Amino acid sequence: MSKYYTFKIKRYLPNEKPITRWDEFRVKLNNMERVLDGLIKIKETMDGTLTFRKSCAHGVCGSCAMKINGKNRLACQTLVKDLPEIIEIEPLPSLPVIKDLVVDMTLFFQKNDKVLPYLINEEPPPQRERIQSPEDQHKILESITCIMCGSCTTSCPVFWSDKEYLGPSALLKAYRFLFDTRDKATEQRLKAIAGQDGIWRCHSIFNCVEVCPKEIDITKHILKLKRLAIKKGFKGGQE
Amino acid sequence: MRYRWNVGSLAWITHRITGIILTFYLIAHIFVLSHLKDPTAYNKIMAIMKNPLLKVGELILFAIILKHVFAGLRITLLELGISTKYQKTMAYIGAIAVALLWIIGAFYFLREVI
Amino acid sequence: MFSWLLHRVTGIILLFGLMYHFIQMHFLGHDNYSYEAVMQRLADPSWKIFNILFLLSALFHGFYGINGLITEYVKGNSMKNFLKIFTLILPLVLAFFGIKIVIF
Repeated sequence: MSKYYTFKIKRYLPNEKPITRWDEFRVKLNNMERVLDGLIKIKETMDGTLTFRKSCAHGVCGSCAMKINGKNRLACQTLVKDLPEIIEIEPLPSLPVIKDLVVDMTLFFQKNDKVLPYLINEEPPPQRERIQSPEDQHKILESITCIMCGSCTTSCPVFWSDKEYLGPSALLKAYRFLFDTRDKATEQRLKAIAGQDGIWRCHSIFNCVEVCPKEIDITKHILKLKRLAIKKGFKGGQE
Repeated sequence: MRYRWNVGSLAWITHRITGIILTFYLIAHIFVLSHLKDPTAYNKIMAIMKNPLLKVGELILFAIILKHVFAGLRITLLELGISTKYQKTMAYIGAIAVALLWIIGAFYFLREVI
Repeated sequence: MFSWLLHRVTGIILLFGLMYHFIQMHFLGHDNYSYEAVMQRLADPSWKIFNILFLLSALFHGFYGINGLITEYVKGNSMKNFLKIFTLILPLVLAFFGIKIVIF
């Protein structure tokens, strides 16, 4: 069963005037196809200049995150049959646009670097791997499933207005290492996230949870980080 | 930039706006009260407060306070460890509580004028 | 971090304070907020302490919120710093006037 859909796409063409415009395309898609299939069809058969990121097309790489009908999601994970006939597509909000649906993710990855996204353990490594029990693995399992598509951080109203804020994605990454039993840099990590641009800027708005394509309850993790910081803060007496 | 609203972001924006209004009200409230040491000034203000227009203002302010209190309560409960599964339910319960308490409160406010 | 925690604590204080405030000043009827009744209550030291605590909590809670808004919405460092200092001084001035009226 296939049906015609109207794709309204916000274009950004730095070499043309006007730079931004809305283009409409009519595409016939069946109910097994996704928004990404529609975009590929447009690029191949209607307008070759349409630019968007895609890679795996199976919800693993996180390249095709974009704003579809007012909500950030992965184009490869959104079936057209779940959307109305008119599909509005924009780039991820609040990041600088390079062309059409491609945004500059530099700021997003800088935030990620700030929370030290690597294991810190000064102890000499054992003969084989640093063992992690299944129970310990379970504690951080949800946060590990993050694919870093940027949907959450760019859906956060605090990040829209305050670019100094670390954002949900970076804080989730901080959780992933803080609650990893093999990691020893708790103090250092808390220092990186407990400042005024870190966890205290989260107001539990739940926009990030609404959009996460991996259905991670990011707010829950940030709330746990807040409780940990309060607990450690009184013991260590920092700040 | 249009972005789809959901329960959490609506709760957040109303919490913000009511908070700003209440802080400005607090400044005015303290300023007025700090000039009311003698009975004539006090009774004059109290007579002005009987004005129906100000009564309506009082009722709006009461609604704003209730909204802010229940939004804050929801956030605090989440931070204390109530599961985020219930965040939407808590927002709905809060809205119902605001409406009920406002109706009860409005009755007491208006009892003096009617 | 402490200011964040204090914001929550003052929020709880305000919750109970407001309940008390509304019942006393608005719901119990006119006799409770006449000039004489208010003055009589103010003579009681425990009522004074309650009022000062209520006042300081409200000021801290409100201006912590405004401070957060400045952090998030004001662009430009000099403007940010100016407003932050201003929202630090203003509640102190208000606290002074508020405490003055409660004590004297």
